[in-house]
Amino acid sequence: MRVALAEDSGIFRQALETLLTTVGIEVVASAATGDELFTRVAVDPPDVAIVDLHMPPTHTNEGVVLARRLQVRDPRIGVLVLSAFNETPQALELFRDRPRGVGYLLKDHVTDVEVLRSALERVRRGEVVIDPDVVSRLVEARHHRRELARLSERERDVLGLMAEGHSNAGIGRRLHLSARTVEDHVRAIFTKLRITASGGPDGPQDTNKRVLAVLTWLRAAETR
Amino acid sequence: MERVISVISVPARRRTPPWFGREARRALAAGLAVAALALGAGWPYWRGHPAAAAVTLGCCAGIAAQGVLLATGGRTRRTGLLFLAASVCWAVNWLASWDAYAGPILSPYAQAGFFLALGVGVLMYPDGRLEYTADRIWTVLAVLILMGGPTALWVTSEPEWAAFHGSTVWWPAPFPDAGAFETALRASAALYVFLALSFAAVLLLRLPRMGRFKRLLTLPVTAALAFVGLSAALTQRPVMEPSIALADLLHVYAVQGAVATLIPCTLLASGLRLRIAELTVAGRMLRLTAPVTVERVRAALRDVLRDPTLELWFWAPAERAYVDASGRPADLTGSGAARVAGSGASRLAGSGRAEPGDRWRRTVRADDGGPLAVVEFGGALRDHASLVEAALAAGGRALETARLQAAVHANLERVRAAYGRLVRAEAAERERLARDLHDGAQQRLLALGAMLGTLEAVTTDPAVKRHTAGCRRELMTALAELRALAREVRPALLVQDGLGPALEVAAERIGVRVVLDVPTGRLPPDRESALYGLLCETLSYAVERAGATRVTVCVRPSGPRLVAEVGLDGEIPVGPAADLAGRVGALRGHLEIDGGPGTGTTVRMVLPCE
Repeated sequence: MRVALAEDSGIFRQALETLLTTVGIEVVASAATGDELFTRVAVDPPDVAIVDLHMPPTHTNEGVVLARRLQVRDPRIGVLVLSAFNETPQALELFRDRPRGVGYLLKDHVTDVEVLRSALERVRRGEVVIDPDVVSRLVEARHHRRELARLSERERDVLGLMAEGHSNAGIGRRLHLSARTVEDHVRAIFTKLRITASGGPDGPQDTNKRVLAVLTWLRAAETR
Repeated sequence: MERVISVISVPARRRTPPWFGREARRALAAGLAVAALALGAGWPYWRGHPAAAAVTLGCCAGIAAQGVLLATGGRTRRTGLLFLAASVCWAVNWLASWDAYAGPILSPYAQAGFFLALGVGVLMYPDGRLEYTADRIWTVLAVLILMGGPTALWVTSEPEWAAFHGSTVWWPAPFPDAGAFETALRASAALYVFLALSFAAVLLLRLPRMGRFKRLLTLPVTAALAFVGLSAALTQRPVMEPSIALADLLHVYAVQGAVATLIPCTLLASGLRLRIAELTVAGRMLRLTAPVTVERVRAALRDVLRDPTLELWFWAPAERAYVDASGRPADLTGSGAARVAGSGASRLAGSGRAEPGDRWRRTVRADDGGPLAVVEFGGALRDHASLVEAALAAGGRALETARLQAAVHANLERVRAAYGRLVRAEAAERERLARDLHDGAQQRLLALGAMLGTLEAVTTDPAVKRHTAGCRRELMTALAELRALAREVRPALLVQDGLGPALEVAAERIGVRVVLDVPTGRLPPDRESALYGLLCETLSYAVERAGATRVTVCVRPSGPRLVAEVGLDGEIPVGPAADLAGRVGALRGHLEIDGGPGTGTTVRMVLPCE
């Protein structure tokens, strides 16, 4: 796999490059700003771009902006946005509209090679990836509001994995459940939370749509 | 045995009433002298016309007395002398009634001199100078016309044509010619009317350029003089007919003199008005300044002195500086420095031009001689020093009281300013610390994590792999603790994304349902930081002390202020409420708490948006 890297902290960029190269992932470009990376991968785009969320000049949402620009220029490119903070509402802007091949990972989890590799591969396939900690924070916030009381504990687990972008099969593998049981849980969750999106056949596109629906429900918190 | 004799001095008893001082006696003497002159000058006519005599003598005496009174004032001195000259001229004018010697030839000059002196005197009132170009042009024209007219008269006529006895009168008549005489008469008559009309125009031109107070004093005099000038020009007509009878001529003079009496009357009225203003100023000041506040004292001075631009600063001893009504130190060393240093008195006597933009200051001293206040006036009040003095003297006690208030304000202001500096310094320090934690330590630890990840990936030794994974977990715990610390210091979100997102996360953490309505735009950094701190504290009080289950937060700008409202279904106890009010007050804002048991509570904070 070929990746490009945009990260303003030199020391972390260096360490990440070493890590990626060591585990056999080719780093074709590495830059300190979004603009620099955008120009450098113009001719020969990588499979996935790993970009920091906070970069100069404003240190707010440069990563999300760069992801948009890259995918507008070349829709096949996957983008994995990294952030040191869990509490970044703008990062979730990444999953607006019709998300495809985008991921959001906390920098803490990047240090785990298996997590990083699986996230990169899923993004490359066009799936949507959301860091489990981010999802659990959102679920937690809802939970505080007693709106998840109607869900069983198992259903809450399934909801979290759905939000992370996993397919029914993926959820089943993780929770050691049959695909059919997962499907029943999903249906139950959607009915209980009144989320309007069908479970549908198991494919990346529909999983992405489902992520969006779940995220939308989780994010709608503040105004309801 | 010794006797101690104590002498108690008794204040000398005044022999005269206060209104009959030296000036008044002098004015009376001058009036009597001029009246006597007029009596002698017009004796042949007065014998047959006692009523006209009474009016004319009264007019002469009045104008002369008024002139002497005006001459005692600094700026009105020239006007006074001119009026005195006018009264003498008018007396001399009556020499015509003798119908002999040089009297008849002098009389027209005296009449012209009378009107000239009156006109110029009024133009010089109350400044003592011909201020505007129009005034000076009119004066030159008046001298030419009023002196040329009588000259043309005796040059072209025999005395009989001008109502006099040829045999007894000294009348050179070098070129007597009936045609030329008539032309001269017509021309003079027309020029007199022109002069009267142009005088009225000049007076009208002056009015809009005067200050409010000056206009108030000048308006009646101006109106009276315009009336007198016009009526004089019109009544002059019969005199301008060839071969007029002497009695008719003198009758015209009597009428003109009677009308001219209006001028001293109106001047007297203006003077009285000024005196009344000075006398009533004390009462009005006392009425307007009860109860005393800094703003009231200023408003009272503005009202009493009719100067809406008046400004006031008080001496704050602790600051060793002058402060304005709200207690903020004012820099008075600017353009007005020389004036303040020179203090009011010397400035009042000075003869600086009273232009509309011209301002002057007066230092008011306390009983002990120390500085009390500085008052700044518009230039128009320069001419009414005694009125200003009266107002300041009457307002003395109020000024002292207000100064104490201003000093308290100044102290409070100083404390607030110090608190503001402290808050800003703390915010800057927190920001620096948070930035160091984020950009320095955190990135370094994350890099270390990635290095451990690399080691974990390359090693084949299961023991090393296990230990490395353990190290990495520890590292992640350390990172989480570091972030929690940094968040305590200053939430990264607040700096990066502003108040809304930062409050969103804070609301998630407290565990009750919070509805946020916060503008998406950014606010000034210190306001964001202040509001974030206050709102987080209010939220935690709402949940922990008031046991609220539903909270709304609404932040909105309102003009130059920021309003933050927190609504909750509970009641915030007195202690935390006072604590919040103190913090808001220190930021120059104020806090209101509405509601009661069972109805929910609204906490409203209003902060200035500096």
